[in-house]
Amino acid sequence: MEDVEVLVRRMQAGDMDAFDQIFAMYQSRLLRTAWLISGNYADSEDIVQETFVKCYCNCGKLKNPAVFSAWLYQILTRTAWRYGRKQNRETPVEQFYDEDIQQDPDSSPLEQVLKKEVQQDLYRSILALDQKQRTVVILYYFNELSTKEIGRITGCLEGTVKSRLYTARKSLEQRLRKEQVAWIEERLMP
Amino acid sequence: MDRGTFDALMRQTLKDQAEKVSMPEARKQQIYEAVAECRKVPACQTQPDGQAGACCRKEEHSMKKSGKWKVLPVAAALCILGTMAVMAAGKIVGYSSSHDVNQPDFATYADMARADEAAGFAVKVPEKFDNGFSFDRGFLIEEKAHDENGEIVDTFPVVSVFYKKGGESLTLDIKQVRPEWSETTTGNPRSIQYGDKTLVYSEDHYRFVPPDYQITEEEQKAVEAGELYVSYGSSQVEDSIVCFLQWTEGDVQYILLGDGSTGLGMDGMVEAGKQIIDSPEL
Repeated sequence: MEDVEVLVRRMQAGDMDAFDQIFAMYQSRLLRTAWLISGNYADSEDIVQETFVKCYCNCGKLKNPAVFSAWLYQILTRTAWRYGRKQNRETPVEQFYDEDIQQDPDSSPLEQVLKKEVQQDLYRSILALDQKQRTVVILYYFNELSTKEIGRITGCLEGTVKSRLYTARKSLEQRLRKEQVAWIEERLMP
Repeated sequence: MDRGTFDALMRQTLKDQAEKVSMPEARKQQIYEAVAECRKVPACQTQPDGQAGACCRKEEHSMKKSGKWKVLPVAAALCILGTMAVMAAGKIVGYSSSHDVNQPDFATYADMARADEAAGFAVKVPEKFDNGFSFDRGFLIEEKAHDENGEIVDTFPVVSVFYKKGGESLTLDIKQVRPEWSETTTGNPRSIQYGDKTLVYSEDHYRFVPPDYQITEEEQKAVEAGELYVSYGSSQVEDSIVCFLQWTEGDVQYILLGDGSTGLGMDGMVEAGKQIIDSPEL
């Protein structure tokens, strides 16, 4: 696989083979990011399609191919936000969190159940965050981007990213604790 | 909960969740087709001034899932032809089409003689207008009708003709009326009677914007009110007024359109329309 910068320059010159390679490199991660941000699977496919079309059609505007990845994620997140505003619909959490959590052979069945419950509660809480907080959380924890990179992508100062992360963490921790307490009370108390 | 445990839990939760989805092959193909469609028109590749090509703007437009659709005449000279504003009574909510502007089906005016046979209906196409615009090239386009989900539910031929005068262009689209669809013209329509024909003139306000442009609340209200059409893909925000003149002759519909820079205005567009009506069929 060629270097991304080289591929981007070739794509800018209209080379479809370079686009194919870029597509292969990014499609899975973009789809998963779009799904986590939008919370809707059907939308996430549309978001990724729109992102790649915009990428190909507008790649000539990208002056510095070294920042291609951030540029691509910027298109993706803004497209996802637009879909989010447009659709403004909730999908039942069951759609997101069914029974196929990967099993950990080192954990007991009870621990696995507990872990699943905690993850389920946590993910429900992530979905309840506002769109921009949720995006920062996903780019940080799932895409493993730095706060500086997230700032570039979301068009805000690094300090704002840190602030959103801090607020989101606090909110998630609080909600998780409440959820866990509720779960314990519901299931374990006589 | 300590920070390390919390962060690890977050990463694992999102990873587990994300791994449930993957891109279906059918969607991959759809994406390649969408990009290839964009690629068909040479102007699609970013132009020297950094402006995205016309097809990109159209591509953006054709992604709309609902509401009014209008394929745009664009500021950057020879581009995708425009079609008309259509609101449907049935399930048709918009039209789209694309073609390579550098590969006309009718390269000369003499070639237009076979347009009626190719399209399946008779057309009137003058070689030039009194206002100085003259034939540049013609196309036989397959126009697609979309339902509210963006699915193609019908296709039909459109004869589309470019007229040029210096750097300005006019477009004439001709197609058969689809009686099962009703149409509403936006943009403050005004009717002009010419013999037994009723010509309808309208103007619409377009705003070309960059791909990541965020529509303001005010713009959104204007879009919803049918007072503004936003088209993505431009390198900067540009406004343009697009003029439409349309009428029907028998079961054939004519749509003449040009942007405000032609300087024709309502009177000039109507005069050009009258010339088309008075022309003999090819």
